[in-house]
Parts: sequence; structure tokens; C-alpha cells
Amino acid sequence: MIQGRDAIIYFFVDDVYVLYGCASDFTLQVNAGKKSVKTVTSGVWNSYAYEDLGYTISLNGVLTYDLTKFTGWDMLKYQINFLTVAYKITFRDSGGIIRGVAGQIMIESSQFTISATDLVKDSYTLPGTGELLVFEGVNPCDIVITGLTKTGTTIKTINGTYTGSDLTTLYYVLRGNVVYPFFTHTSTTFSFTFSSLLAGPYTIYVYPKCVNDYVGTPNQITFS
Amino acid sequence: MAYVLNYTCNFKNNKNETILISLFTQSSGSFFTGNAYLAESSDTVFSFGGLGVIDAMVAGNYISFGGNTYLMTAVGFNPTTGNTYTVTIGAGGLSSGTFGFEDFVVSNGSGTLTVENFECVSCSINVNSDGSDILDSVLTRELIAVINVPKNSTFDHNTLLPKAHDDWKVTVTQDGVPVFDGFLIPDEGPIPFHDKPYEVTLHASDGLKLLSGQSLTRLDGTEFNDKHTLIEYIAAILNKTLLKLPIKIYCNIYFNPMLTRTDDIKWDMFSQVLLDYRTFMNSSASFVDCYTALGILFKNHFRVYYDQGQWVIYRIPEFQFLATPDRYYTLYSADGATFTGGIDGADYAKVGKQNIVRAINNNQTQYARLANKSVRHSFQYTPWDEIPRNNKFERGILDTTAANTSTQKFFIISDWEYGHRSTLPLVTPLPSTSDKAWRKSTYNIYGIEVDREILLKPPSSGGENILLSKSIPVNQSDKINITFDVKTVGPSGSGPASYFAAYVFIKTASGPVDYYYLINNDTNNPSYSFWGTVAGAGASPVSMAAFYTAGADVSKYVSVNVDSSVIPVDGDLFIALVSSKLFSATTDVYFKNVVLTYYPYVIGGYIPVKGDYWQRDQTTKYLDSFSEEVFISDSPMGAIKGALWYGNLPVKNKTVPDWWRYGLGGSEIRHYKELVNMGVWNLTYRRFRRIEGEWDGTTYQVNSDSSTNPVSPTPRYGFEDLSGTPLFAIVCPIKIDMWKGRFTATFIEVYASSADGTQEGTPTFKYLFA
Repeated sequence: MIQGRDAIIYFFVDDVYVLYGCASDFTLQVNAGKKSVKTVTSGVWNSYAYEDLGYTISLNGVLTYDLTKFTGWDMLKYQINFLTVAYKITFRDSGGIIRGVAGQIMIESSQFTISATDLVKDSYTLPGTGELLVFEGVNPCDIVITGLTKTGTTIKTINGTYTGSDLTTLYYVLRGNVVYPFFTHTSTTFSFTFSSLLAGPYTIYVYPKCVNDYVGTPNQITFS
Repeated sequence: MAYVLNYTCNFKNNKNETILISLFTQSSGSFFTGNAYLAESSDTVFSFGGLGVIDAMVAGNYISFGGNTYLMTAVGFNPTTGNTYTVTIGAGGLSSGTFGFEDFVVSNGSGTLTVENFECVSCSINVNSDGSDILDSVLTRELIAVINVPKNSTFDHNTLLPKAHDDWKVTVTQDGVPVFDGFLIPDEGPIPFHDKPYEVTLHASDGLKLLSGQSLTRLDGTEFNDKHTLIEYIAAILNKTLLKLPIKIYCNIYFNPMLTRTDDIKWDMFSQVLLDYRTFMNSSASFVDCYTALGILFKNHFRVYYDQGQWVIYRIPEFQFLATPDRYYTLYSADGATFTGGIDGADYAKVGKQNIVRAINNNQTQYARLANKSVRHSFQYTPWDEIPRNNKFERGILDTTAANTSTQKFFIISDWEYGHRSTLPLVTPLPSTSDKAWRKSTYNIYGIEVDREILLKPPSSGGENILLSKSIPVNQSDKINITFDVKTVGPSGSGPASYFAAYVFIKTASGPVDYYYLINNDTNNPSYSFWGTVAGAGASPVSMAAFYTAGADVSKYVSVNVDSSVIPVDGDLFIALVSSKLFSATTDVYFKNVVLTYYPYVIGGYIPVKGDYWQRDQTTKYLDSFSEEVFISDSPMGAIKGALWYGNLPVKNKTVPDWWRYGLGGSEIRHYKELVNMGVWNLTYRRFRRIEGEWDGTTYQVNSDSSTNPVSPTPRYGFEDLSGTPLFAIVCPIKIDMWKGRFTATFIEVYASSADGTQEGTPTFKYLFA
């Protein structure tokens, strides 16, 4: 069990992580399924192997309405619309090192406790769906795109620079479509050449993808 | 017919394998002549024009083209070429290199197609057979997948309800490797009776089990009517599933004159051994269903199943014994027309607590299979139902030039040749004649056929017209019985003392006499017959005569019934019905009830033989015995169901055994059926292990090169936790949980030492007499 008063929980909304508002406490519980692998030559002792993994986040707080933070009202909206949401939790350990976990959760249950003498309290059961990413630092993907440039009078090439060591590939998003165009990259730079591009204006978002399959923060470039 | 991808279900299982379920529906057929264009309507449109072929489908709905990968919102493929994606990109558009498309859409010309992706709730692949033994011949595969349909999905009950069997094609890949191809079974995919969202159970079949409802026909839908290679039958049967998959055959036994893998690695017996179509007839006018046909071909000797996008046919005894260090196979195209050879490098698939496939949940049980005191395989000499070909005159083509009415119709008879004869011996093909012979069918006012006669028009010039059958292979010592009814229409009243009505003759392949005629020319003893070598030369009658008593009315049918003497030679027997000018130039001759009965004898036989068998015994004290009938075999005679033939040689597989396992040529001389018998004997001569339960993994790792493949019936599984690593074969039922990455199945031991597969027992070959 991981429990931390110093931890911060974010939800991924509109391409950015936003803080969760008004959490009094939350719990992340990771469970592993097991299976017996006892067979001939195992002797009298039981023998097990991991079967599968799952986890659940329990979240408690005071119900508020906040235009800039993710709150219980947003949680309710996601639940009613059958949506899942990406999250990130970071915390600082006793050595001062920041570590984090991230993934995707669904809202299985929302509970609002109302009494005449108290604030409305809310609590949520949030089972994780998909892999739980565990990473060092604030972001699960350490790649940061530090610059994007374009070449030529007619747009043919995008060049970029980045920091970090876990880059596996990059992709871009144009008008909502995700494309993996095979950027070529060195340890600090990348580039991609188009054979043709549309007439502008439009914006291309370039996303880095890390070895843990997690997508880092995008950078963007606008064409006129 | 093209298929278009409509829905996908993509997930990673507990083994971190990517499972992709794809549902395709039939397109209008114009898919490949439509347009490929950029996502935006204002972008340049690229026409299909044959400039390129998409290399491959990539998981996640991408395509690979020119070394690059592109997202597609729809793809199609042509099932006639298997899983090759043949979308082509045309003029002014794609060539090799890098492209700046942000999206790549394929249209059928009438609009953009989109693919909806579902979440998968469960997915299992089941492999079943009629039993739970290694000798089961047909292993069928089905898919049961539960998908979650969201409330705004285009998928609902009507998506499946009105569809035919082949409307919804389903494929499943495991890390890109095909593990299922089939079609949805609409009536077994229950959908909740309420609004979405709900879970839908998809049930699909590879079609093998459904072959029981399919009558055997050729690939083009016409009937088999000759001797055909085994692969022709098999391709025709397997293509009834509509999957058009390549056929991979592991078989390394040969009849002596055959080409072998020494000549070319591609040669096996399936493209060289012939079977007469009448092996698969269940009456003189209809064929068995395709599932039954597979049983006829494979019983106790082969098993057929789906594996990795191919049909696999595996010779069961080769689980135990190969005389060569390599495991050869032949890979046929879906139509069986082209083939190549190869070597399966896998030694065994590893099973054990340190391996991918391992026992889990502590629920395995082990048994000992029963061992047999004796194993017998018998083969019945059942003459073809249709002797000669089209003996009931069922097959024919309506002669539109004849005087057809609502109550009578005239058909040109298939498989019989009508021609002219002026000399003896008869030669084929016959000299042509403009005269005709028909099947004359008479109908009542309800259109029901109530009478059937064979009508032969007389010769316009001299000599005779004859209606000649196809040949029937017979052997020395065999006997036949011939019966028919004959009459004339034209003159009435009394006729001659006898009318020469038919030839029954044998054409020998070689020897001092080419033709033998069955003759019944003794007026006082018309049932007496003999085989004569002199025909014609003024003798009349020269073969089969109908005799009349004085004053008999020749316009009434008179019957002929003759038991032949012992056939003197091996050869091809023919029947020829005769129309002559004996009565008058305008006399029509009619026949009915033409029946030939064949009585096979073995050479020197005392009484008719009805079959033979191979048997193996041992002195070890076991109480069980095994006795089965097989339906194809080498045989001393050819005109029986299941007799194997080789090429166009006149020599069929005689009593001289000349089959051998590849690698033992020159030192092994056996009957085909003996090889079947040896195979079963070696699988049951001692008590072998049988282990069943639940196993981890959906892939196995090969011991020899560490490659991995989806769990299937093909490999031998080596249990490394057992002393000596005995090898096992997997048998049905196999239930593979693709979601959890595990399966339940039974393993049967096949090999623990070189003693397994090389046991001879005490062999016996005997005939079964009537």
C-alpha cells in the first residue's frame, strides 16, 4: 500500500495535467493475482506465480467547484459519460526524491455524503485500467521538446531539439489525426521531412513517446 | 468478393501478447477500384492504378507501404489471395519514399469507411474433435469472444441478424500471427434484448465442422467424375469452408514408383495418389458430405486442422517415427494446384515449470492409456456403386433438338459414348455417328418421372450403333453378372430367334489377346456364358443375345440375365448396348434395367473376397484389442471403393506391397494399410501417459532454436520435468483463453525412446472371404 499525505494527484484534461482539487486523502492499492504452478518435481511446498495485476485508487475529499482544477464535479461528469481519465500521482520520499505513478482510471463509484452540519464530502473508487507506470521525477516520460523549427519557404521539414534519455519515437497530431511518420532522431535532435503539406493555417503538435510507452508533453508549431 | 474491415478488438493479455480480433464484412466488390485519398476533401486524390501493393497489415490498423507505416481508417483484402492486402495506389501518388499524409483513407468510391474499435471482455479459441484421442481426424476450431458495445456504437442486433454465413469474416492474430480465420455464426451470437451498452458474444467457426452439411463437389462446383489426386479432393473439401487457405501436409510415405523428396523436396503422395470418385458416393447418384469425406481419407492415419492461417494435415505416425533427421512438409496453394516443400525445424515444444507452457492451478491429472493386445485394420472390398459410370443414366443433358413434350423428355447421356461400329474388335473412341441415343424419361401430369428407358436410334448406314460405357477395371478370377431388358419399337409381332443386343468385353493392357467377349450364344441354355477371344467373322450373336421363343412379340421387353464365367485376364471391362438393322432400318431399340454386378475374387480365389486386413499382436498380457475399418487402401482390384491408384499407369496397387517410409526406400516393402496399422500399433502397444489439465501460455517455445509459435496440434510437446523428456501430442478438446494467456488440453505421450515408433509386433495379413 502506498499512502502519502505529501502526494499530489493530477488528472489529464485537455492535453495537460491539472491538479485535483480538495482531496483530503487518497489511497493507491495494487493487487497481484496468483496462480499455482505446483507440478512434478515441486515437492510438498506450494509454488505460485504472478497471474495478473490491478490496482484501485480510493479518493476522499470535500466537494467543491473549481474552474481550474479537476474536482468531484468533473469526476461525476466523466462517470456519467462512461469516460476514463488519465492521472498522475507524484510524491517525495524521505530522501527527497520525487517519484510518481501514472495510468488510466475509470470511475466505478462516486459517493456524496451530505449532512446538515457538515460540508458535502465525496469519495470515489477508481479502478485502474491498463498498466500502472512507475517512474522517477515529475513526468513519466522524461523527454522535453525544447524547440521546433521549420525550413524552407514552402514547409518541408520540421526540426526539433529535446532533452531526456528515454525517447523511442515521436508522432504528430494534425486536425485530430495521429500520425507516426518516423521522425529520425539523434540523442538531442530530431527531424521529419514531408513530401507534401496542406495549405495553412494549421498547427502541428509533436509528441515524444518514451520507452515505457508513455507519451510526453507535446510541443507545437503553427503554419500560416 | 472483397471484404472490408468494419470492427476491431485489440487488447494485451496477461502474457503481454497483442491480440487483435478483426471483423470484416463483404464489400460490394468495387472496393479495389475505388479511390485512395487524403483525409481532407480538398487534398489531392490518388486513384488506384496498380502502382503498388500494400506490404502488410500492422497491428493497430496501420498499413505498411514502401517501408513506411501509415494509419488507415479502413482496409480491405481479397480472400481469393488469402491474407495478402492488395490495395493498390495509383497515378501521381505513392511510390517509395516518405509521404506527408496526415491521414490515409481508403474508400469504396461511395464514401469513407470507418473502423470501430471495441473493448474485448473475453476471448477464447476452442479446438474440438469427435473424441479426445490422437487418432481423431478432424479438429475443428471456433472462436468465442465477448465484446463491449458502447451506447453510441454502430453495432447492434441488426448488424448480424440478416447476414449469411460468409458475410462476416473474422480473423484473430496473436502478436501478428494468425490464430483464427473463420466466419461469424449469426444464430449463436446472443445479444441482450435491451438498448446499448451491452456485451455481445461473437461466435465464429473455421467451417470444418460445418462441412457435414456440404455435399462433395469439385472446386468449381461440378461433380467429380474420374480419378483424381488426393489433393484435388482435399482442396475441394477445405475450400467449402470459404476460407481459401494454403494446405500444409506432413506426410512422408510413398508408393515405389512415385517421385519423392529426393527428386524434389516438394513431392509427397497427395499430388500423386489417385482415388476414383466413386469412393465418395453413398449411392449411385449422390456423394457423401465433405466431413464424411475427410473421415474416409484420414481415418486412423491423418488429422486435419487450422494452424497459423493454414490448413495442416499431419500423418499421425510421424509423431513417433521419421526415418530422416528432418521433418518434411509440402505446402499446397488453396486450390492444390501449386506446391512447394520445406522442413519444419522444430524438435519439440518445451513444457515444464521453467517454460512458457507449464502446469498451473495444480489441477493436472495423469492417466495411463489402454494398451492393446492386438490392433487390426480391415478394408472392405465394396464395389463402386456406379458400375459402369452413370449406370442409372441419371446424368444427362436435355437434347433441345429432340421431340420433348411435357410428358416425355430426351436427354443425351453423360459418360456414355454413342458411335458407330463396322468392324471388330471395338476401338475407342468410336467412329462418330449422326444418330442419337437418349435417356427417354416419361412424366405424369404432376411432372414426376414415372418411366425411364434408353433409346438407341438405328444406324443410318451399315453396321451397328453402340452406346459404350466407360471402362471398369477387373481382375483375373473376378466374376460379373449382367442383366438388362431390351425391346424394339417399329415392327411388331414375332421377330428372329435371337437379337444380338450388347457387347460385354474386356480389353487387356497387353498379352497375346487384346479382347475377350462374354458370349451367351446357346439358344437352349441362354444363361450359359463363356469368354471368347474370337468375335465377328460372321458369328452372330457375338456377345450378349436376347432370345425369343417362337412367335414372341419383339416390341415387348425381354430380359437377359447372365452370370459370367471366371474372368480370364486382368483388364478393362466395357458394356456396349447395340442398335442394329436386324429388324428394319427404322427400328428403335430400347433398354431398361441395365445392371452390372461385380464380384471381386483374389487371384486363385475359391470364393468371392469381401476384404482384407492387417493385424499386429503381442504376447504381453493386455486384454484390450483395437479393430477398425479404414476406407482407403492399396487393393488387389481397382473397381472398389477406396482403392488407391498411382498416376496413369495401368498397374494399380496390386497384392505386391510396395509402400515405404521416406528414408527407408529399398529396405522397406509394405502395404499402405500396413503403415496405418503400424502407426496405431505403435501408439498403443504399451501404456502411454495421458496428462490433462490447465496450462499456462498461449505460445510454446521450440527447444532447438528458441522460436515461439501459438499453441497448436502441430508440434510434439516435450515435458522437461519428466525423466528423459518424453514427447507428447496435444489432443482435443483444447480451450485457449486468449485473455488470460492459458489453455486447457490433454497431452498424450507418443515417444519416450527409440522403441516407440519402431515396434513391429507379430504382423498378419489375411483376406476376408464372403
